[in-house]
Amino acid sequence: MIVAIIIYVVAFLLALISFVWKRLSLVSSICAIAAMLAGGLYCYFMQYDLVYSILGFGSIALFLLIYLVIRGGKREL
Amino acid sequence: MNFNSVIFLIYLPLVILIYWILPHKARWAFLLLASYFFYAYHNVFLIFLILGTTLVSFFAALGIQNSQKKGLKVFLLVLSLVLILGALFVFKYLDFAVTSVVSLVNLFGGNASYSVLNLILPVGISFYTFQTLSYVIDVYRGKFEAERHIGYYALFVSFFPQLVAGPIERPNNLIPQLKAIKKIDSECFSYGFQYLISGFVKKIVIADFLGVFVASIYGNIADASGASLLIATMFFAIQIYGDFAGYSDIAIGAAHLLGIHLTKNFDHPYLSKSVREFYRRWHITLNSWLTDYIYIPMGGSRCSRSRHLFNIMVVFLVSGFWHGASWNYVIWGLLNGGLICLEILLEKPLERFKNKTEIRKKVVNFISVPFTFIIICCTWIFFRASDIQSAGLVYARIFTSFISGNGLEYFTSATTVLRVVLTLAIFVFIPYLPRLNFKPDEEGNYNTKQIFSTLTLYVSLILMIGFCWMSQLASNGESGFIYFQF
Repeated sequence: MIVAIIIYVVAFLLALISFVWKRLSLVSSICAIAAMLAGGLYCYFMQYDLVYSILGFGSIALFLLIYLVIRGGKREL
Repeated sequence: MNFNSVIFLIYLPLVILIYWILPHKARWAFLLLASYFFYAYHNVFLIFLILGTTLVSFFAALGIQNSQKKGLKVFLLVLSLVLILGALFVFKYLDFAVTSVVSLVNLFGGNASYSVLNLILPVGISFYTFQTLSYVIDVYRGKFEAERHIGYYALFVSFFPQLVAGPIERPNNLIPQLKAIKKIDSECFSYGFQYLISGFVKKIVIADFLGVFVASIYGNIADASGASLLIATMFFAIQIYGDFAGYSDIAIGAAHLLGIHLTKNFDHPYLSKSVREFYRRWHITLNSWLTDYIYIPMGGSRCSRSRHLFNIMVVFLVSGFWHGASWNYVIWGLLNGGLICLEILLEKPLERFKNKTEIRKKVVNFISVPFTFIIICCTWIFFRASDIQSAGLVYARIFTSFISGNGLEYFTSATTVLRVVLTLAIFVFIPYLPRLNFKPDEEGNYNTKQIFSTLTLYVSLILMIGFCWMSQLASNGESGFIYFQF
């Protein structure tokens, strides 16, 4: 299980760097997100505890939320 | 019907589909039937109570508007208030009131007894009671013309997204929207979808997860360490926000999908710099209701200082009672009222202190948000504890047994700690989700990164909601909303 957690943390950081630092391409961020997604689905289909899948999908969601809140357009409610 | 139930996932798309297929003339009837089905799903008899409240307020308002005599208007207003509030009293407060009187009599040497009726508390009774009261009072004040179509009025009272836990809508906002001819609007759907996702994340991912820890610690206060009680109280502050703001977001989202805009109920409350500001951002529709129908008629702030403070205390006393028939809710209300009074009394000295130097100003501004959060957490203890004695025990253990006791072993697992960190980080950013704008630039082009990140964000949020839900169903079963009990 520790492998899954390491993948999530590394992929999360890679994704964050590649989005924030423009020199890194979109491809690297897609790879990082894919790693988290694949990790989440892998843990689910291997019937590990659901918390590992939740961590995988949660990492992507959190990273993209941070990115879109900082960089994305906002509207008044 | 619960928003976080399987049946609602079938019910909502079906209602939206049929609603948009039907011609405008038939929509109100369909929505009314759908709303009654939603309400009666668990208990059919509750329909009779909401029907009774609807009929009383509808005919009272018509009578008030049509009568020429002032005395008759007052009589109809008072009669409707007595009947509507009477129903609320019987179902929510009767047992509490009689038990309190019996305890008081016995305290002074009497020998009174009372067997509790244990009536079912109709879900959402406090919410729709306040909504009908505002309608009758607004018609009496001449602010709103009485509705002549009983169908639209019944729908205003029972509109399913906001029926059981608000937002408490005013007639001048909701009734005209229910009557308006609506067309399918992509902006409305986009808003609705964003609010729905935001609501489910707040409820299922944040509130239900933190709620497990809170329940285990508050379920055994005597053995819990002060540190774990402190963490559980902070988690409860986030849990209740996730639970209630989550419900409100789902309600707003579902209504948007039907082309109806409900009033915003939360506005980043934990970013408040004072308790006063907190209650302008927390449960906005209840606090504005209390302001318009109790605080301002009593004189508001345009009176002597002592009268102003008294008015605040009355409003928070009513707010405490509104939340529940228990003394700890009353103390919770009074505590908040007292804190606001204290803020008013200290306002000028604090301003003088703050404005003396620029550094002081920055320091006060910097600490005011976390300080307010801690103060609010201290008041939540009375809200969460089952009774006053338990609340007192929580305070005592925080100050006397900070380390000794159980509870902290919950954080020994790495995955749990990671999940807690993730949940707290999502709690910080998720309120911004409905504000994200995914429109093309001026030339009509979409940014590739934005399309990719937006789609991935929604897929990952939906997957996360689904997995958290599965995990929760497997361990605890379906969880209700905290505010359903009010």
